[in-house]
Amino acid sequence: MLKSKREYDETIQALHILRTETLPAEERRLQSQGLGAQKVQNLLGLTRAHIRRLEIEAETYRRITDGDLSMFDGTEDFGRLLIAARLAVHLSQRELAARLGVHESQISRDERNEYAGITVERWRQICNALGVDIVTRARLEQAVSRSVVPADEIREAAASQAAVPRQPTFSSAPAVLRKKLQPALEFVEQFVPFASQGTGPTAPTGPTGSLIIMAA
Amino acid sequence: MKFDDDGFLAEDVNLSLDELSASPLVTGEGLAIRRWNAERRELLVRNLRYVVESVRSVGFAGEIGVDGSFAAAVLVCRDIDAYLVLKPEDFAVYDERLSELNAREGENVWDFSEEAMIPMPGVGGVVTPLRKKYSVDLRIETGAFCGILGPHGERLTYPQAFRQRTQSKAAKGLILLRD
Repeated sequence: MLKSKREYDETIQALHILRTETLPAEERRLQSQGLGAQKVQNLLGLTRAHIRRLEIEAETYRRITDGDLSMFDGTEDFGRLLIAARLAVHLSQRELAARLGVHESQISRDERNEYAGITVERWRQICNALGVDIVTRARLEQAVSRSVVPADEIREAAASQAAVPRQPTFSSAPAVLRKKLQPALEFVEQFVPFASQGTGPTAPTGPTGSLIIMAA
Repeated sequence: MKFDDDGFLAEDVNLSLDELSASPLVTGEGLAIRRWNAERRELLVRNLRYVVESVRSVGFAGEIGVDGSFAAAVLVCRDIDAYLVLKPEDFAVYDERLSELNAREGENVWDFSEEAMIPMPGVGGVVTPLRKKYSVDLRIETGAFCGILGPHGERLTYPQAFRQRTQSKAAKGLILLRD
């Protein structure tokens, strides 16, 4: 991920050089070794793949600095989202450091570590300094399925009523399940007002819970 | 093994895979970094061993090195960036050797072409099938100019450019794997 305008500019420069100098020169060099046309093209494919990677990095940087952070989804990308948020508001590491009252090297180090192990308090400080809101949204079906109902109780409930549909809505769940799930639903709704608009709880055999994070 | 203040290797280190497995870059010993993920790094080295042994087994004898986050004392290490420099004599048999590796693998994992690239979610960009399956981002280099200029405008190849830090252009070291 490109983290500064300078890195972006260098990537654009590299792309230009790769397309206009490296590819033609490499083709001549490989041909001069007596390789067949197909072998030359296959080896040139290594450079073309490198070009493709750089193009995507540059495109991602442009999207981010245009304010599009829609490519971030989930906690794995959380650290990179903070970096992208800085780029989206057009702040340098130095400027962010000044706002936070820390040395630039601290931001550089944090970003290199993608803010691994960051505390919630630190997260808030950085968001405040950037002037962005980070919105977190729990996926109801995941959060509930992880939290409360033991699998044997679900099997018991399912055996006593109609089979549990693969994607049940909350209102269509068996009464035993609704009773068990209601506290968890209310808990989630305290923090996530729109949670109950989701697709409802699913059986706990599904994927582990997830958290959607987005900048606003 | 010496690191600079930003966690980069201060100079190249020559290591066997066994030595790499026992090094601070895997164990975290002496790095004084909390939450060091030794388990993850051990897994990455195991996968790297498979990749190295595979390419050696079909006859690629060029230099293999490691750079990127794995070669630095940093917490986040999603994959292991490695490179193989082809020798001129490899060029004529490159396709055949990859075909042999794919035949062993039972799928087209050893394909480094643009067409084989796989999009990754989030800001993962595109990765090779090998990176997707084994978390080893092996780059195969032919010695071509990589598009990156040195501090004095000189045209760098890989792995020369891997020895230069992205932002400051300051020097950093790589792990050179010894057979």
